[in-house]
Amino acid sequence: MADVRRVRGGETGERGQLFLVTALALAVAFVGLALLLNTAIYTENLATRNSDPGTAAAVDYRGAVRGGVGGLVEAVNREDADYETLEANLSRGVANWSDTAAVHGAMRGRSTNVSLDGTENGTRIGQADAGRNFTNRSGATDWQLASDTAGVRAFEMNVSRSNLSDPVLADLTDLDDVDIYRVNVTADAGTWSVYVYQNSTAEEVRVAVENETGAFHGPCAASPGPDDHVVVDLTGAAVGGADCAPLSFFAALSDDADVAYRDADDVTGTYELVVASDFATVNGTGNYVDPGNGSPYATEAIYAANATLTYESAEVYYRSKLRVAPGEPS
Amino acid sequence: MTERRNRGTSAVVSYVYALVITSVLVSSLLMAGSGLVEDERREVVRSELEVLGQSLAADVEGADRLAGTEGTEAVAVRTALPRRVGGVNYAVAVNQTGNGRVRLETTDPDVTVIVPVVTDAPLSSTTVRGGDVVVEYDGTVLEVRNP
Repeated sequence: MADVRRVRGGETGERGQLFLVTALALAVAFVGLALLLNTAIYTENLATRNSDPGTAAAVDYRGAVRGGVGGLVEAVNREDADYETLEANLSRGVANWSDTAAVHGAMRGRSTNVSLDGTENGTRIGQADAGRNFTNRSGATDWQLASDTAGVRAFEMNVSRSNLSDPVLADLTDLDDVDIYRVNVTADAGTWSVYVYQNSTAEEVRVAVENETGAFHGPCAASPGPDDHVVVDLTGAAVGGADCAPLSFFAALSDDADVAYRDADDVTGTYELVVASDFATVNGTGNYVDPGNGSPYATEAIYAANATLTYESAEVYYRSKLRVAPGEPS
Repeated sequence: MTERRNRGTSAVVSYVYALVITSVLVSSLLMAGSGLVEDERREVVRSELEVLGQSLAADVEGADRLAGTEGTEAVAVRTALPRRVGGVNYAVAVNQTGNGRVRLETTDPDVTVIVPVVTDAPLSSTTVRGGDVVVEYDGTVLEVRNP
């Protein structure tokens, strides 16, 4: 057979040239493979990294704007001024807030901006005298706070338990027949009634809701603190700080509503709400005094603010319009 | 008389045998070696395309999340994809069939990777190549394109 170990002619120093060439060619191929697999390791490492492109920070900024502008609206509304002054104050406040927030953003390589586009006029109605009942200026027990208003927000009352009615109830439907303080909210779909009363044996303030079909829900009960008062947050659907689901009907109101009190002499405390009606309309009913002159008062307020926010980082650009109405039921 | 050990042999035939066997061995080794390299290259390209596809899908869905907030007017999410994978160019086709899928493919080696994407905003059909990519929302549709 062929003898490949020894090349004819006796030359022993140059064996296996072809194998050497093969080995070198294979070595080059395997080095190329090693480089390729190196890229694969890098790609696998890329796959383990966080894939979020930074959109979470933009959403966070939007939340911060909602909170910041909402706080500014509430603060500006505390001053008793006319609509032009309120809007000018809010616009300046929003500009200052935007500049301050932009400094924080700039430290992280982000450019942010908020500007006020416009406001919706409303009226702030309330009573600051805790020892007074909820009648109007003239003492009428059944009166309308606002009629045909496009929205109600931040409706909160702080009531004294001992001055509430203490009815004997077989079940909730008996509430209709007794003299109990209630808030009536009337829309196209019907009237909802929110009854606020107490149970003196249990020493609780109770809130029950009769919806537009006449069905009763609740009661939501809360024990008062040492001052014997309980906070009822109607638009926030909470009684004494705890969730009260029957009150969430506020969020479902889709059209103009009337807000009225019945038997307002059966309750004592303070309350406040902001309605989306013009001040001239609300004040023209004669139910209110000027703020600082007694209770209940009505004053110009901003109902909602419309703003445009812009957020830009190296990876993300985001521009959006935002409507802020703090305390609006959702 | 000394015995000749190589009767019936010819120098030329031995030489030819040596060359033929060696070349057959060499060529088969080289083909196996390059076949291995080719397979590995294909796998590397597939793996890289999958990672890129998932990263691009995350960017599209992140932009969609911003676009879904109420009152949004404009969103732009910028990323830089590598120009080549495993040494070859690749093409990215976004939502060509309308099923919300991103398809990345290379021609040599022939690899196709499909990554599903779920968005609330409508996604327009585009093709992009490697390099800088931007996902834009103008108020109505999401679009993936090279800037």
